Amino acid sequence: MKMFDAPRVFAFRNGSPQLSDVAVWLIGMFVVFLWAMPFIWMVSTSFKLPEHVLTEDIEWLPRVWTLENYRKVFEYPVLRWGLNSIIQATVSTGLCVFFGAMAGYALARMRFPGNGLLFALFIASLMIPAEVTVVPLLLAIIKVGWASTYQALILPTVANVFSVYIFRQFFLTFPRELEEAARMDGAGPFRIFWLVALPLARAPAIAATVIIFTLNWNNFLWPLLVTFDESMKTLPVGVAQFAPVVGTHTQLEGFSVSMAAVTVLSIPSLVLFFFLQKYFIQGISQGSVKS
Amino acid sequence: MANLELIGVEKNYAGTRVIHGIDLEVEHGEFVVFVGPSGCGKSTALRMICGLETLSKGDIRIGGKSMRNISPSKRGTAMVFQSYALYPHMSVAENMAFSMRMEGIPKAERRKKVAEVARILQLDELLDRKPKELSGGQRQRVAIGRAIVRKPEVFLFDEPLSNLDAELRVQMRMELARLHKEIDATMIYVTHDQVEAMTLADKIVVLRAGRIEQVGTPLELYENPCNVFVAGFIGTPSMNFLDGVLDGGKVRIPALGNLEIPAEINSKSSGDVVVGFRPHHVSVTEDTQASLSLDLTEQLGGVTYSHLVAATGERIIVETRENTVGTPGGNVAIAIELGKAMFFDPVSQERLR
Repeated sequence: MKMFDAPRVFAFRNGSPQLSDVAVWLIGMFVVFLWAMPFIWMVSTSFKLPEHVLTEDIEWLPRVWTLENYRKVFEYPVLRWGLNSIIQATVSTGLCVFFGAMAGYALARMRFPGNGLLFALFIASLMIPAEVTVVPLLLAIIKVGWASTYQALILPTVANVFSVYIFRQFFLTFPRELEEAARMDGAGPFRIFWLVALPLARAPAIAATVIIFTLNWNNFLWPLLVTFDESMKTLPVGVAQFAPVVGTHTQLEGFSVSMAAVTVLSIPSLVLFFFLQKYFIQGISQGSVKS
Repeated sequence: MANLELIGVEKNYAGTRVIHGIDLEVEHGEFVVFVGPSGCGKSTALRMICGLETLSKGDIRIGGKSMRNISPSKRGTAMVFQSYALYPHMSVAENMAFSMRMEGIPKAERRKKVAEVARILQLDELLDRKPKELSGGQRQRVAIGRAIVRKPEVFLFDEPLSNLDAELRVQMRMELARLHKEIDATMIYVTHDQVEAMTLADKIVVLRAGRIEQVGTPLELYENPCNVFVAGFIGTPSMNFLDGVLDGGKVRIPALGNLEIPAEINSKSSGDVVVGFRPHHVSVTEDTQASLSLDLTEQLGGVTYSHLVAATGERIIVETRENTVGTPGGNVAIAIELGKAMFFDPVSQERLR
């Protein structure tokens, strides 16, 4: 069984390659190479001996393959951090997608005063940098005694404008007659949303899940601030300890060990993306290309 | 007591009145068809009956009870939508049982009722399928089944056959007529297709611009239209209209070379009138001296439609059994069957009797 449909590289007009097709392909491959290069170097370095990392020329393959870097990474409570990350990222993503779907549905399908204004405010909030809100948020979390808890990691991240936006765009194109049929069948607004609209919103749900999960998984600043306890750290915060620091032992061995740590960190997001990439692209293009 | 009553029903959208005080009574078991051109308010009227649109003024009563503040699901109405509006993620059985699920009816009872209705509609084999796995006609039947399981007082159909191809439409039309007999329910049916209206209806309601033009049985409307609009709307091809001059019990028609036909009109003794006659109430003969020229002919096999142009520029359609009535571009003469012409007032458009 094919896991996903690979896009066709060439869709030749008249059945044979045109010069412009080749040009597009070349430019595309160049961009792919630019994006993939650091990733390939990261994975390759994670298997190198520390002394083989900083070489005069870039070496794409290790001279000697070693798992030593990974062993060093796992001397730390990496699995516990991983568990924390999984709990934080999945719960937060689940809630974020659920609330995003509800808000998006309400903004797209329900008539109430201030609907347009509310959506404009949602979008405007994207312009407020996280750094502005992070200090008052942290003070509030400490005040309610939630420091180094899962609530502190999760709750401030469950509202996400992107999730609201992607669902709103989808529900704008949702057929009105389906809602009316459900109304005639005796369903109220919540049951129409829950039983009719939401089950049909698979594409935006998957797109939002992949994007928000990746954001949550990679979230560094907020978990760093609210986790004072080593056992409550998430992977990105824990892995940051492996970053090479000038003048310490990590300076020399740091690159290879930290690359091993970052490779471990990136696996879940990659797996999720590869499995869901078809829906991811569908969800992003929804609303913009649907006639 | 009437099963459904519309009493002075009005609808305004942002200050624009789209329904102008409709009064209508529908008896139990009647098949009533709302017919009219696009934008005449027929779908709006239907949506007001089932509660998907609010009333701006007036009242709707079902079984004698006012529906003003009753939610759509509690009115005892069920709607079959133009697009069928089947829930794509649910099976046929789940689609049909959805309203019972909302009511909290136990699963076993739901299954039993769905099976019963599926039998009537020959959907037994399809109960586990999803809507996308069904043909247009099957989807239509599921939509009707979903309406039937609710055992409504009044069935509402919003142009239910317009998405089907011509052959299937004829077949579904017959099935609907059969179903109406079988379940003996009141049905309100909206269409812009007057063939559907003529074949299905016990009573046709002709609407134009938010007003009822005429209510009657299909043949009443066909044979006895009350104004130019109804006369022109009911019947295919539509009625021919020519200008005429009434004088002393006769109407002179300039388009037909000042042909004079007898006219029994009590409400008017002289002046301009509009003469209307059906395309098949005319006979055609080739006549090189005549003032009508044959523009084109449409041969449908059984009948031929001849499009004629008068010297006055007025156009006439003639329906004949013969394959040819003349050569295109040639001249022809026509005769209107005695007593078949109707007369209308050119200003008020009302029928003159």
